[in-house]
Amino acid sequence: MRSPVRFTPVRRTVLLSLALTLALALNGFERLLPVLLPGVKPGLANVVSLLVLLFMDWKSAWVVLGLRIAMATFFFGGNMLAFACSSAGGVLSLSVMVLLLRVFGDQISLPAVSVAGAVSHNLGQVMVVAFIVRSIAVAGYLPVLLFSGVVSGLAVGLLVSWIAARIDSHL
Amino acid sequence: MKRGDRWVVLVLGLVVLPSLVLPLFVRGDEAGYASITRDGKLIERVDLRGSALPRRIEILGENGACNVIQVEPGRVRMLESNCPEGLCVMMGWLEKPGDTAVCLPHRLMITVEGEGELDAISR
Repeated sequence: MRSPVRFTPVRRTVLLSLALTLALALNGFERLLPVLLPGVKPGLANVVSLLVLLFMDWKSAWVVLGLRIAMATFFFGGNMLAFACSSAGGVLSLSVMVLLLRVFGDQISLPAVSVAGAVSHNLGQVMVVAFIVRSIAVAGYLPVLLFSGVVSGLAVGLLVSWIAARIDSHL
Repeated sequence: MKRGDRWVVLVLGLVVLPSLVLPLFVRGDEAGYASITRDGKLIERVDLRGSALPRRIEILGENGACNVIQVEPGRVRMLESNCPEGLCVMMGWLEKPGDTAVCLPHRLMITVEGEGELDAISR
């Protein structure tokens, strides 16, 4: 894994605030897009999670994720169930991505991390839905979600690779 | 491909492939019944076999929750719902055993079952 950049405390705060704002904006933008299939989303906010993971540290990524989900629920509306779904998805997804980057470091490429994150996000969501309706039958919908997770995860991962290379050339 | 990438592809293959292939074996092709549940508790089991008459079922819940389910021979769908996102309606017609539509805000679920499964469940 690339060594995290050393930021002064003020810079760190400002950058994290910007990251949170960007994550929220991407999340809000996504809500404007037409829903093609229930539960299928591009997951653009994961771009921010990954960038914070890469250039800062995992603790910051958790802070941005937690605040983003809480604030998105507050600003854009959403019931406790939607909140539970995004939380489960987000926690599982970030845990998997942090773990992969820790274990493999340089030996893993960003699209792979991103795909793993996207797929675990969808798995987490299905688990919450299955818990709420008390039935495992919703697992029948997994193929759709897993496939969309792979596609959107790849897209997000490639985007992050491109942005990371850009940031690297300016550091 | 890097070492970590291969692991991701491997695990993904182990998770994704079965979920794509298994339904092909498990699923019968004919819808027999549809069960409507809330919080996992059965509200109604609907006959979907050829002799079934088309009908609509209105399901009222707490806080004004209202779902309308449309039943036709061989298929069923959530026709209307006053939940905010309407994802259950978007699931469209459910025709094959294993197909589900979930209305999360109302904790309501429709699941299609095969013709033989009623016996297995009631036993």
